[in-house]
Amino acid sequence: MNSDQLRIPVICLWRRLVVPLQGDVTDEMAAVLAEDVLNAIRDTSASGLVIDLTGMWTMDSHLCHVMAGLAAAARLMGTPTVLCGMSAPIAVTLETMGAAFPQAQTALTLEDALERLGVAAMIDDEAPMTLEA
Amino acid sequence: MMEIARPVALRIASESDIARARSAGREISQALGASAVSLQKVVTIASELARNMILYAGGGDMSMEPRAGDRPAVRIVARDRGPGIPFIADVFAGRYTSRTGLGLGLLGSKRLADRFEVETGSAGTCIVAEVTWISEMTTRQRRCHE
Repeated sequence: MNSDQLRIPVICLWRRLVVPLQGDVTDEMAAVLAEDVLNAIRDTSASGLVIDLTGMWTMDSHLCHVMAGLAAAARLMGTPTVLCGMSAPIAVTLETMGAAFPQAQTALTLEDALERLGVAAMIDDEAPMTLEA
Repeated sequence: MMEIARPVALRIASESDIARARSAGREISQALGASAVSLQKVVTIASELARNMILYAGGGDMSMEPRAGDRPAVRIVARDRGPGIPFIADVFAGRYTSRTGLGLGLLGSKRLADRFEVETGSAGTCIVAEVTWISEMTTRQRRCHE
């Protein structure tokens, strides 16, 4: 596989980076991801990083270690990290193993994570939403 | 109708085989009707043991055997011809964790498993880990009898 196929999207929202992880992240993908995210932090001057685990079906100690290292490096660069969306079975498993994320905060949902990083949403249900071209 | 769980044998020779071990663990657990947490335990142990074989033993062989019945289980056997695990007593006592996380992978697997046996020496290592649970079918039948 070439490195483009291993690439996980890094989305910039209001100067916060959101990284949505999906399915199973291999060791190779995790290594590419950590480097991509740190470069993106520098390039966008992001003031926060969110790693969204909602779509993950598994996570082992190695991936935890890579994510913890990513959060620690982001912190050295001056950017806080929030992990969100961890499923109950993954949380139970990691807790039983004794894995920890000392350098990252955690939040239940992506919305909570962005709020934690200072993003405030304003929703106007009255605003007209046009579907016509 | 639940699919039939079959034993699997995997050659663990490269990093991509670690992901294959996880997928195999998921399939066998699903076929046995494991809960989400039991499935996660099987998958994580398979991943940790496969990675250790890649990192420290130049690869190895992994098998997964299903056991059906009232107390279904998945038995994972990881066998390699590596140099053996040093400081194993320290690893299990939580006194040793390498930078790459060997300690946590092995100790974590032991904590996740309901049965965990290690035989290690200069000729290689054999680890047997078993995750077991109470069949939901049995729990339901019991409730009906109450």
